[in-house]
Amino acid sequence: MQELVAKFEHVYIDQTAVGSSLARRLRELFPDDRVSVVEAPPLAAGELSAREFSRSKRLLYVTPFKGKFFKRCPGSRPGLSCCNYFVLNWGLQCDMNCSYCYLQSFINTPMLTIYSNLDDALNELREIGEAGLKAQALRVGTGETVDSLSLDPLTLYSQTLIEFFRDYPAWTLEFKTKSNKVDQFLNSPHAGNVVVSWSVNPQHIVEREEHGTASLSERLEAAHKCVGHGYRLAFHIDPMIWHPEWRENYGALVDEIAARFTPEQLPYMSVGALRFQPEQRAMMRERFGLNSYVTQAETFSGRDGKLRYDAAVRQEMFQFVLQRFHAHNPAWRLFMCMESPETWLKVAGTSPFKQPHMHDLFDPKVVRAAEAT
Amino acid sequence: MVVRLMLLKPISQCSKCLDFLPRRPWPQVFPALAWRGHLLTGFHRPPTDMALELDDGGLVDAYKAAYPELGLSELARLLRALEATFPEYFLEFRNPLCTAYSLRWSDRLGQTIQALLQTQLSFQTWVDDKKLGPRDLSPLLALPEISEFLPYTEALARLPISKVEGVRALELGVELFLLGRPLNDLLPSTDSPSLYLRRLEQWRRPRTSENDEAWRTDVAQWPWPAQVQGQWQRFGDQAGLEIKIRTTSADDLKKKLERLNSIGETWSCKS
Ligand code: SF4
Repeated sequence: MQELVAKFEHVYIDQTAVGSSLARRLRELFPDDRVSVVEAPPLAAGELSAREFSRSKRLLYVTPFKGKFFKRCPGSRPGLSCCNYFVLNWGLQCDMNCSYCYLQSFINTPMLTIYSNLDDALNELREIGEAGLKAQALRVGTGETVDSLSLDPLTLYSQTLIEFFRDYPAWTLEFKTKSNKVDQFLNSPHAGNVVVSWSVNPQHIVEREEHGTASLSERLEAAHKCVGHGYRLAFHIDPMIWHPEWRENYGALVDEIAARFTPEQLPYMSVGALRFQPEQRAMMRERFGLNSYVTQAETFSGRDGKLRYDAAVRQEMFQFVLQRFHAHNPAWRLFMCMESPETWLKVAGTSPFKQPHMHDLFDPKVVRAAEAT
Repeated sequence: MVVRLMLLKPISQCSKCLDFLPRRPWPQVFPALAWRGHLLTGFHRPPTDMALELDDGGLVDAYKAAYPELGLSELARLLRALEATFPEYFLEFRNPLCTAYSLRWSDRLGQTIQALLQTQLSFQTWVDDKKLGPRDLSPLLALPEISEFLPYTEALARLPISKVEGVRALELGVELFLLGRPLNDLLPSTDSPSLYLRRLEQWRRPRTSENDEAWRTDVAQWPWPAQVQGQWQRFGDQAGLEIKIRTTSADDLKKKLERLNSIGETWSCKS
């Protein structure tokens, strides 16, 4: 906890959030001279500079969120397959620092924001349940605009969410993280519907591109703890990053996962290759120079406008990982997030919608019903 | 907008420290303008000419009236001159002046302006002639030392190149330079912008370019039927065959398609 508290230079609490349990907790954890109550939100003067973006990771701002919390996964765009996934954003910005992070494409607030009104989010979820979706297999993820768990020892939001989801056993709550912060919720009673997922990469990539994140072995260790407490697991080998030794490094990563976990413990694993918005290229270049595999990458504009490796390179990487897993055990299953149907066909030999074990992930009826609420 | 005039005074009594080297000369038919004894326009008029001293309040309005449009480089030079001349009021002028020229002051814009001011006047003029905006210049912000890159910006400004090509060339130039390619390699050695850009693109994506080139050569040697042209092409993040068929009858088309089947087999073997 001390390490997390030390990360932040200052905590700003919006006066409308002062009474929240989050504000009270932060006031207990941080020394008085590092906490201020503010009347107005911190305003960004236009697009953030690289130094402002980097600094925004060290300033915490607590405020209620005034919009709608519940949103669809951003992958669901025409021409792209994506999982039936709903996103609950309880914050904006991340305390870690991956070179490829997509937050670099749009954040223009000079502080890491955490929303103090998680209760409102839960009320929205309740309404969705009351609209007839309580028995549907809905997936709710919390790791889109903030890491699900890296700040959790500060917020303890995981405990509130796990508790809420006990009343919705058909729904799945998914935490997505690159941290190893799991101890605070391990002993929370749960309904067996919580997936703790890790984005994993070879340690070489963690060191070069995923600054400030937990090491690969720390992530795998944390995953082990979760399995031991009845939580479900998912790994996302995403983004795969091309580098000269990618085969050796991704091969070793697959071997390590296959040695420490079983296909039953990891029923859904996804793979994805590096992709990013063209708008974030400038910020990445300024923040990480050209010494990063990400800024060095040979990318092209894909159908969705994002920059990606050549399709043949992506297919080669996906196929390599798939075959390596299957060499361990054909029961390993992988899906490709944010990939075109053509890539699915070339790598897996079938469309995502035709794979029997993918049905609950891609049921369009569930998506439409939730969108209508 | 109201710009009130106060009095006439000889240019010799005015300071020229706000000369930001505007691209267009101040029209001869208008008198030079001054503000608090500093010339705003007509910097090259003879000292015996008279300047109209403006009312104290309307500096931004006066600039906007005198210069309805300013390029980014001109604005950068103007901001630098204003900061040096009126350090105590500069912050008051800065934001409204940027807004008057459709920009929003930010730390990022400040960095871009600083970077631009470190380049040669020829490059700055090129930036304004091509109407480049702050985002177009963002590659400069990745350079730890802009002075080392100046031979490139100087050469780029001389190249007969469109805005889109120029922006791409600047980005590729900066990235290749940061990747360690010697500046001598990067300087344009041909006057054909498209050829030059193609070379930069190939250097920037060496593995893919080499692979595409190998396919291109290979495909050219495949046994294409007469009046059928097949070429290896890149379509964004995918590469593949583009085939053109000229045919005059249904029978002919059938035959060509049969021959193309064998091309398909050749392709399968190679993939
Ligand atoms: S952990 Fe995720 S959100 Fe945080 S910096 Fe990395 S990519 Fe961005």
